[in-house]
Amino acid sequence: MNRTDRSLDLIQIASPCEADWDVMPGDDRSRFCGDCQRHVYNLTAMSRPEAEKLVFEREGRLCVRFYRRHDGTVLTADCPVGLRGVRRRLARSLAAACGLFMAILGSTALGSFASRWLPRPAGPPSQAFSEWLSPTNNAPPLVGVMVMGGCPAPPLATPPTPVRTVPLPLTEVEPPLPGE
Amino acid sequence: MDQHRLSRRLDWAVGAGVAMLHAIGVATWFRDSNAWLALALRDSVPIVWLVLIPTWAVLGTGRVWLRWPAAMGLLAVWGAIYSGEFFGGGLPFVPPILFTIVIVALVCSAVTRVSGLQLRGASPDDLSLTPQFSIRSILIATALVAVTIAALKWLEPRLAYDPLGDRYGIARDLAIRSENLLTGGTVEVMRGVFPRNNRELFLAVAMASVALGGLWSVLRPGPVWLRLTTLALAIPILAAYMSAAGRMDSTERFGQTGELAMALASYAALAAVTALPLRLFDYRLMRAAAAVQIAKRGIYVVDKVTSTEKPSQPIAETSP
Repeated sequence: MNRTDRSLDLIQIASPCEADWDVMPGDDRSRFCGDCQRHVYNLTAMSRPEAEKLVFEREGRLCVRFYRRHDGTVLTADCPVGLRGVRRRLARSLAAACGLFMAILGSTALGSFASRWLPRPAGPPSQAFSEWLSPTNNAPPLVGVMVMGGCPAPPLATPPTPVRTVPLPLTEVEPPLPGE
Repeated sequence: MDQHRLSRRLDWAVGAGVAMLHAIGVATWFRDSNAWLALALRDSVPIVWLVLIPTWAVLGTGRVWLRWPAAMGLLAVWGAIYSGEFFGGGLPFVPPILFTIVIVALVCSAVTRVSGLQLRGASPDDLSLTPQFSIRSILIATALVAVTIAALKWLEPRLAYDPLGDRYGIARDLAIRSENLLTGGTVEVMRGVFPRNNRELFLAVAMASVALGGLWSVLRPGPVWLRLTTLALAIPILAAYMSAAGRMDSTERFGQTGELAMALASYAALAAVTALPLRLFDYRLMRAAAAVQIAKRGIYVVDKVTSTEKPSQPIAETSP
């Protein structure tokens, strides 16, 4: 019998079985069927040489399951298209894992770098947002030019005894009152 | 080890890493840290959760009657952790900001859902999609950019710091009213919308937008790099605008822009990273029509490599 005659693509299921593969104990490649007390082999989880070796050594007297494509060929684990897909998926998973790791490292490095690079030490997001919501105007007074604009009451030289008449916003820390 | 199995394990490892980041964020809320990353996670996690929960309720997979009660439960858990009632601490921001974040997330998700997009398991053909030029997309993007620029221009004077009346506003009015009610006080409430309120609402919209941008970048089909680059460019521009619009003086504008950009970027990054496991497990934000179209071409929506089971009936017959 020549190579063409023994092609895996020519195998046929003599007696199709209704047993449920999912309930059989075992792995992707072989499982044990409790109904027939026999091992069932999954050719699609094997490479083509492995599957051919298994089928032809047993002279076809074994239980197998496989997926046959529309063109009549049997799908095996070393299918080039499938392998390409698996490798692409593996590359994507590797990239994601490395990317996450690098992102953690990078953000830590960025935090320490920005602390030196920015005029102020880089604080957490809440600090940046609080500063934006309630800016503290530390700008030096303009001198040598005529200025115009709204003028709030100047701060007192000696701060009065703090009497809380209006509650502070929830995001701010209240100063301790005398006697507290 | 089998390559397929190895990639699956890596996917699960990424998922575990993301869960760990969230756990660090929650833990840092109760126990302070000096590390910038931990502090960024501490501040980002509650806000990203507020965006993720409504977005998942609207766009997620599974049954609606199960999703919405679960989302309510998750919001209750959020409240239990961050309200300070049970574990101490306090809210991350004043309630109007938090409500606005939830509303923005709900509205954006609803608009996305109405446009036909939903989180779905993608087929191998969906995964190999490449960006395509579309006149409609260009028109929509141009219109959105124009509307955004006009809105930002209109908002600019309304966000500026006002030293005379800046600190009064809706949240503060509510606080004064509550205290008057409890203590019998008669502190007068100033009515009206003040720059601080505008800034609070704008900040909420900005935080929700960048987080949604992170989700969008990761979950849409096709390569993420173009979308992530756009997001990475948009965030510093937004930060520069906020810094320019919000402050009186320009002496610290550069530093504030950097701080705001880093803060907003941390929100976007955490949202994107949180969605990453979904992408790895082949979930995408896409229309159902794509899956039906593929099925009609004779390709089954199954993993070609591992599945040997031919579907009992083609997807085209089961899909509406």
